[in-house]
This record gives sequence, structure tokens and C-alpha cells, in this order.
Amino acid sequence: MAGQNIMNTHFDLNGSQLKDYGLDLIDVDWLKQLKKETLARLKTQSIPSKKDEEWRYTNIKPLIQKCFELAAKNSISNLKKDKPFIQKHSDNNIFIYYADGHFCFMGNLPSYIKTLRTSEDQMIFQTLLNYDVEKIHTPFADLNTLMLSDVLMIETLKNQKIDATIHIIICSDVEQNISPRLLVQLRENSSIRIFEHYLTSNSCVINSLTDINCEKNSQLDYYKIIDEQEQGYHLSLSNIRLARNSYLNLFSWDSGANISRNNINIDLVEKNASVNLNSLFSPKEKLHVDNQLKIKHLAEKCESSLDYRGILQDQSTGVFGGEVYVAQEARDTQSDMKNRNLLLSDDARINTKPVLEIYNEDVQCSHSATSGCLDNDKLFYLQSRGIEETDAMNILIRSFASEIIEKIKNSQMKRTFQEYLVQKLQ
Amino acid sequence: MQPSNTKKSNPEIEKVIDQNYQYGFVTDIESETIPPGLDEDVVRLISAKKNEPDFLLEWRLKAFRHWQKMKQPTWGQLRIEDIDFQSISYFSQPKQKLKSLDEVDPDLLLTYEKLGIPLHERAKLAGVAVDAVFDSVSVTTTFKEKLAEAGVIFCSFSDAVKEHPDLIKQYLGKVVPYRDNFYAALNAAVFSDGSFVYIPKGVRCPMELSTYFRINEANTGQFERTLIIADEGSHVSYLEGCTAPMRDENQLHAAVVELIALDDAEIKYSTVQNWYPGDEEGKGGIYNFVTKRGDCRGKNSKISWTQIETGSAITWKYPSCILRGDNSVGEFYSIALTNHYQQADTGTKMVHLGKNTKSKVISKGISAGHAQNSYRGLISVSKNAEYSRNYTQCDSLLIGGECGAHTFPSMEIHNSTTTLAHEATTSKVADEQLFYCRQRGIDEEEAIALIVSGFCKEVLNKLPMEFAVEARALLQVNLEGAVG
Amino acid sequence: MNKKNSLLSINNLKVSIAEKIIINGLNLTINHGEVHAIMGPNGSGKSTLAKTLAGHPECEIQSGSISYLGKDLFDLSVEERANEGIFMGFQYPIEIPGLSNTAFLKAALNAKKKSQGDEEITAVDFLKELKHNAEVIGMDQAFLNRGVNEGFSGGEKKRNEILQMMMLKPRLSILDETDSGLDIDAMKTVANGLNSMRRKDSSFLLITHYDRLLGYIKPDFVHVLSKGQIIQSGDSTLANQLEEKGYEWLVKT
Repeated sequence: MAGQNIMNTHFDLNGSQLKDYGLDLIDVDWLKQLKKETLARLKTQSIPSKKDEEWRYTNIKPLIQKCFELAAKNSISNLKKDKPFIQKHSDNNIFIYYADGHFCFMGNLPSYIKTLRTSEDQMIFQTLLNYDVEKIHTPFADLNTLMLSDVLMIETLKNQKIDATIHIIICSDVEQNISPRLLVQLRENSSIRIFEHYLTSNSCVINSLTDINCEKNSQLDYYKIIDEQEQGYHLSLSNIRLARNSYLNLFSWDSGANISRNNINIDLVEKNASVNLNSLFSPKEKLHVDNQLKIKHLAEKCESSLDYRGILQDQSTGVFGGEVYVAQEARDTQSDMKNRNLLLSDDARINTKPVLEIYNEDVQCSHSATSGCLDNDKLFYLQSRGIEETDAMNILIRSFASEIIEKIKNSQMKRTFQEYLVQKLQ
Repeated sequence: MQPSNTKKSNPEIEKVIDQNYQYGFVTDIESETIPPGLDEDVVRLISAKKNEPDFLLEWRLKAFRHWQKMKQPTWGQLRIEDIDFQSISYFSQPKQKLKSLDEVDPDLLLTYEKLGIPLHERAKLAGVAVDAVFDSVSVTTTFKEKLAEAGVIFCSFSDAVKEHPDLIKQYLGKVVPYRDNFYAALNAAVFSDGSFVYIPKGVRCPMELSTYFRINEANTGQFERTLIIADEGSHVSYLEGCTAPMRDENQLHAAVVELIALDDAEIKYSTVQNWYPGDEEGKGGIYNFVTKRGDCRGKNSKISWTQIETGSAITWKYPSCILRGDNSVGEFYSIALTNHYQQADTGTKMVHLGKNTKSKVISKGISAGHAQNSYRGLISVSKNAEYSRNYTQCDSLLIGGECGAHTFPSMEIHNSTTTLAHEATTSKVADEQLFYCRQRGIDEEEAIALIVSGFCKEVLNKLPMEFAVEARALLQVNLEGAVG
Repeated sequence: MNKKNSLLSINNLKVSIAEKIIINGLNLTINHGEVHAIMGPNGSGKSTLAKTLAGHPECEIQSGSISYLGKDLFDLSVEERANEGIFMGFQYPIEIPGLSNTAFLKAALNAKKKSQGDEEITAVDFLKELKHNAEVIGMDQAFLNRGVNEGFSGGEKKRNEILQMMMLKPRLSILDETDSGLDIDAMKTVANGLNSMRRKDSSFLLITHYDRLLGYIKPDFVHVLSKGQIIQSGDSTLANQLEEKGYEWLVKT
């Protein structure tokens, strides 16, 4: 039995060339070289299986299969010229779309935003992508590198406070394989707001990779909505590094996909860095959402706070895997991790695992997890005031979600999430 | 200048002083120990020495053959040296055959006295019936007659095999099958003795039952098996204690405990585990790899685990409850204290299968020195377990900057009517708490002990009165060296 | 100033916390049976003085000396000072969850007895005295079995400090802002407890912001602390003056 498994757990890419899968999408030598090396490495790697603790609740095989199928099918080289849905930039909003395999936009991008296809400065992309490969060598990061056809980079200047919201909209209405790659470099004492929005309406496979580096005193306000169609697969990996006094504020909402898996790795590498993560996931029908978080406290006086809420309906399944690691050097650490879940159907499932790994006594860490249905007393109270049962239930479900949304400080983003709430939970 | 008030990094806490393991003596008793090594012949030999019926030998052999196919688990956060299973002797017994307590070797009795075990007269005073397992063999059971009056069977496993083979056949391996895990399979193949308890229908066991385990011989492993059956409407409280001599090499203890509670029955199982933990450098000590599981088979049944784990170089155990019967209740109260280089990976599984089942988990981990202490748990609620509830609280306390405390709780909920709440905290003994105690005249070591016992209160309160004092003392002794 | 039979004598004391000088050349002598009050604005070093006397690790002694009962106080550990009769009532009493008040007090009392070579107190005597004292300060018996200060309100914590003081019978009680956060009834009962302990062999150092408490307990001496030094001393009328005029007139001169 063991022999068979070993065969199956490796990426089955024997003899394949880049072009076999339409992976040589950009005619740039250094990138082809990088992809070649990546392919070679990927061949030696094994596909995660349910035996891996991290993948225990998510069967990844159909996703990977689909991923290669699509790659072989559609090479995305012929780009459509006009894209009527593209919005114009305004003073407060920059719109960047990822469609047909590249980042596109109307008008000019501000100087702190570059794309691989349009930028003349290839060096910086090359350096950062090579560096990434060194750092992150999970099979899915490799898959992204292998299949990417464009890269978006946001790089602030020192002391640059950007007041606009950068909208990054990943969209598609045909069945395709999408590998967006995002690089964010926040230089010292700068700040920015990014809103990533996934909107697909066909059975796409998305395998996105985001790499964020926040230097001293920088601030990142980061929002994410994953709104995909039922047949889709969504895989995202974010690696975030926070230096001294830097601050990350993340709000996300994942309404699920056939498989939606979000990995977020955050390293608090210097003193006083802090991170605040708030998230909602609300799969319906047979959708599946798997959240995997790893927060590493590697320096003293850092803070992390996580609040993840699941609303699970029908036959949907949810996973929360949260891990807070506190290194021996990370004295005076504060961390709080919460996962609350509403199970609204007898067939819905939640698997939650909030892990603390602590190698230092000078910490204040806590985590909590709850699961349950709507509170009958509250329901009764509302009904006694003349509200119909289904309305009363909706009110309670929305208020559960609103508690997260109310924490959003930026009023524009708060409104966006509120609107999404009305649309999603009715 | 060096003012006396200044004490920035608390050097006393970092200072490691000799730990005093007071049970580290070796008893000089003539023993019959079979040569190290394990094959089918050894399994047959053990079975033959005990004149076992065929069904038991067959079962052992099946387990052994299965074990041969298994791999030693690598588990979580534990650092385990490779164990050479061929270098262990799988059977050792005192040479003298015993008929009554009076015939027990006086050295052995002295041993138990040193252990503070109420085996003889003291047992009567304490009102505790005791079964004592020395190396692999049960040496004596007290109060047999009095218990028999109530219909309670409390005897060594070997005696139960002879006297109540039907019960053994019916229940052995039903809660922990030999296929369950590596060490459960090994135990099933080579177990040599243990305790057996049967409480008949409607009987409330008139006294606390207790077993003391002792590993004495060098290079031996101890593989005992405990089986407790509480028939309908019965009630029993059972306590086990464990100690071992100080030896430089690691010794293996791989026990299996199976509990079965039928309708309306209740089993309370308490453990005070104080196997030799190794020295302050991490040398020696017992590898304590134990499988404990209770089956709440009947309606309204209840199984409650309480454990005080202070000993062993490595502890690996997850006393669990299968809540099969409707309205059944599972509880797990645990204190795991690790100091020096000890490692503990402990927790529980609560498997909710029946309707209205309830479980409660309170775990307190204390880590000092270079020790690593992990809670690992699973709460699983099946689709049919309507209106089931779980409450879990796991708190960790750290003493000193070089230890670790980890929490790995899994919750798998497949039912919307379930209410589940899990809380966990990790903190240290605060400098201000220490200062407050010291300002009231209490020295640092005692202050730590007081703070720790306060931290553990909810669990200590669950222990039978007779043992709560012992447990507190044990916590204090094992914390020695954690502070100066 | 430095009388031979004084209880406590502080000479030219300089103390820093986190490398910042807080007490800067302070002199004070307290004799047996006296009640001293130290007043002063926020940040004048009142609490640091209390902590220094009790031996808090964060207080770094830069120079000066303190003699207590003729001994060098700096030679004594925190618990030795306590067992020699120094009691500090905390401004923010510490919570120790799960450890019952009773068990804690008994451990403290026995530690003191042990240090003096006395027998441990019997459970019966201990409980009798505890109940009596709890009554004097109007503390509900239920508090005795709760965890030390666990979930106590501010006022309850302060009462608990006084109860501990009454049980431990210190020679020198240093009460750091014991009156803050107390309502008028609580203040009276706390004062009752304090007054019940006033005798020749017990002295008090009351650290306070306002003179409210001093209306119930008349001090023998009042000192004004500013920038780590005593800038004015007087009898109890000084407290009244401060109430009227504030600290400004003193600080400026």
C-alpha cells in the first residue's frame, strides 16, 4: 500500500516542458530560466494529502488536477485589447484589473505601482521573484511562479503616505487558470490601503501569491473579498513580514468556493510590530473554506490579534487552523486568537484548531473557539417583538457578522463590506 | 553599587538546584526476569508462565503480529531517543509466590511503606483497597473479602483471567483494540498483569479502589493493563499511583486502561503519576506511553478522568471518552507539571456520538526549567449527537524563560445543535504576584508553590480527599529547582 | 535625627527606577508608635518610597542608607523585611487566582512564626482571629474563601489589605494610597481597623494624596514630598493647610 501512495503523492510532470502546459507565457529570458528551475523542483515535491496535519480537512487533489488541465488547455498569450469593465482612476481610488493573464488599467499608474509586463525596470522584479523562490518553496508557491504571466508590484517611497485605495480586482468569466502575483514593499514610515477583490464567474482555478514586506514604522491597511462562483477553486498564499513598529490591519471575507484555501503567514520580526486580523467566512451549499494562519512572534513586544468568524449554511464546511508561535526571544508578547462559528444547518461542518506554541514565559496569550447555532433566547426575544422567525434569524446572523465589520475604521471600506453583507447574507 | 533591591532577570529562577526525587531507591529482591528481546516465543512464554487460556494467547499473538507491521510513532513536539525494543526485558516477577499479605517479602512491604502506600494496617485506616503491581506482577490486593461482600471484584488481571475468564473475554480489547496504536499493540502482546474491577448492577463501591505501580528491575519495561467495568447503575472511584527507581537509562512504561460504563453507571478514575522523571540534566527517566480510554456505553453513564502528571521523562497519554450512550458525560481534569528536561504531551479526546452528551475538559499545564508541555485534544461531535455540549479550558503557566507550553486543540463539529466553547490562556507567574507574596513574608519557593496550587485548584478539587494532600505535596516537590 | 531607638531611619536616600532618579536625597525618621503621613502631588515619589522600603526589585538604590530596628535594611530580602514586621499595603493589590485568601494568610502568618522560631498557629485559633478581624473592617466572610483579590472591587481589595495587616500585626505599616477608591463607609471601616492597631509597638507611614483619611486617623507628623525630597514637615495641621492651599505654595519656595 505504501508503494502506491508514494507514486501518487508526487507532481506527475515527468518529461514535461514549459510549453507543454503553456507556461512560457512571457518572452523574458530570466523568467523562463526561473520557471525552468521551478518546474524541475516541483517535480521532486510531493502533493500534500489529508495525512498532512495542515491538509487534514481539505482534499487538494481535484484542484491540482484542474490546475494542470487548464494550463494545458488555454495559453493566455493573445490578450484582448479592450476591456469595457475597467474603471477610471479617481483621486481616491486606483483600479487595477487582472484579466486574461495580465494586470490592466485605464490611464497611467502612479509611480509606486509597476507591472512586470509594462515596467522597464525588470531588475527589481527579477531580484524579488528570485528572492521569493529562496524563501517560500511550497508546492503552491512554485505552481504560481511556474504559471504566472504578470506581476504587480507596489513599492512606496520612504515617508510616503498614500491616501488612495488601491483596488486590485481579479476577474474572469471564462474557465481558466489564474496565477496572480503581488509584491508589496512598504518603505520606512509609509502607509497604504489595498483592496483585493476576487470576482470570477466560471470554474477558474486561482492560485495567488502575495508577498508583503513592511519596513520600520510602516502601515498597511489591507482588505480582501473572495467572491467566487461555486465551481471555482481558490488558493491564496500571503507571506507578510513586519519590521519594527510596523502595523498590519487585515479584513477579509471569503464566501467560499468548491475549495477555497487561504494561507496567511505573518512574521513579526522586529520589536513592537503588530497585526490585527479580522475575517468572515460564509460558505453555502457544498462550498468549502479553509483558513490557515501562522503568526510568528520573533521579537519582543509584538502584538497579534485575530478574530475569525464562520457562518456555515447548507452542506458547507469550514476549517480554521490558527497557529501562534512565540519564540524564546519574543519577550513581552501579547496575542489573542478567537474563532467563533455559527452552524446554521445540520449538514454543515466546522473543524477548528487554534494552536499556541510558546517558548517564552513572558507572554500573555489566549485563544478561544466557539461553535453553536443561533441563540434561541435572542430569537425568541425578537419574535416576541413581532419579528418573523426568518427575519429574526437574519438579524442575528447579520449582527454576528457586523461585529467584525464595525471594527473597520476606513469609512469607504466599511461601506463596501456592509453592502457585501447585505448582498451575501439575506 | 550593587543594591540588594535590584533583581532584574531573576537569577534565582534560572538557577537549577538539585531535585529531590524521593522514590528513587531500588529494592533488593530476588526476581525472575526473562532475558531481553521480543519475538513470538517471548509472547508464548509470558502467556505460559501465567497459565493463560488459549483465547488470550491467540489474542496476544494477533496483537504481536500486528505490532510487527507498525512503526514507532513520531509525535508532535516530543524528542524521543530511538527505543530498541529488543533490549528490553518483557517480564520480571519477584521469585516468591505469595498467598497472603503476611507472606509478602518484608523488603517489598518496606518498599511500599517508603512509597507511602497504605497497603497494610494503614489501608484499613484510610479505607482504601489497594492492588500493588511490582514490576510486572500484582503482588497483593487488600480488602478482597470486604469488597466481595458487596459483590465487587477487585483483583489482579492474572487472577481475573483465571477466575472470571468470561468477563475478560467479553470486554478485553473492546475499548482499546490492539490495532489502536503502536504501544497499545505492544501492550496487548506482552502485558503481564494489572488490575481488574467489576462493579455489579446497582452497587456503589463501598471504598476507594487503588493500585500502585512500581518499576524496580533495570532494563525492564512495564506493560500493565487495567480493565474496569461498571455495570448498570453502579459507581466506583479508582486511583492509581506510580513510581520507579532512579536509573540512568530510560525505561519504558506502556500501559493500557479500558473503562466501560453501562447504563447509569459512573466511573471516576484518578491518576497520580510520579514515575522517575530523570535527573536535572535530562538523563534517565521513564517513557510513559499510555493509552487510556473510557466507553460511556450506557445511557446516562459518566466517566471522569483526573490526572496529576508530575513524573516521567516523557509522558504521552490522552485519556479519552467515547460518549456513546445518550445523555452520557465525559470529564477530563488534568494537571501536567514538567520541570528540567521533562516533556509531556497530554490531553484528551471526547467523541460525542449519543444525543445530549456532555463533556468538560480542564487542563492545567505548568512548565519550568527546559521542559516542554503540550496539550493535545480532540472534541469530535458526530451528526447524530444532537444537543451535545463541550466546554474546554486549557491554561498554561510558564516558569522561567527556557521552557515551552503548547496547545493543540482540534474541534470537529458536524452538528448545528451542538454548543462548544474552548478557552485557553498562557501566562507566567507574574513578578508582581511573587513580590506580593514575598512582601507578606512567604519565600519565593513557597510562593511559587502557592501560586501554582491556586492555578490548579479546579483540578485538585476533583481528587479524592485522601490524595489531594499527596498531590499538592507532589507539585511542590517537583517544582523544586524551578526557583532558587 | 538618627536616634538609636528609632524604628526606621532613612538617610539621604537616592533611588532610581529604569535609570530615572525618583527619590533624590530623602531623610526621614519614624519612632516606635508614631503615625506619619506623606503627602505630595503625583509623581513626587511617594509610591517609590513605599516600594523601596518593601524591597521591590525595580527600585535601584543609588546611594544613602536605611536602618530598620538598627539593621541595614538593604541586607534583608523582601520576605525577611516582611517577617521583621514591615507591611506594605499595595495601592493596586495583586490577584492570585485560585489561591484562597485564607490559605494565603495562613501561609504568610506561619512564615512569620517560623522565622521567629514559633510554633505554627492552630487552625482553630487562626480562623477565630480571622473572623473577628473581618468583622471589625466589615468584610463579608464569603471573601475569605475566594481567591486572593480575585474579582474583588477596588474597595474590597483595600479592605483585604487592611485585614492582612491586622492578621500579620506589623511593626511598621506602609499604606500606599489605601484611601483611594474608597467610599465614605469603607473609609470609616478601614480607619477603624487602623485605629484598632495603634499602640506603642506599631508605627504607620500613610501615603496619601488627599487628607480624607487623615480626618479619621490623626497623624503625629505630616511630610510633603516633592521631586523625591521632603520639602516641608509639620503636625497634622499641615494637612489641613494643604487641603486649603494645594501644593503649589510649597513647591514654589
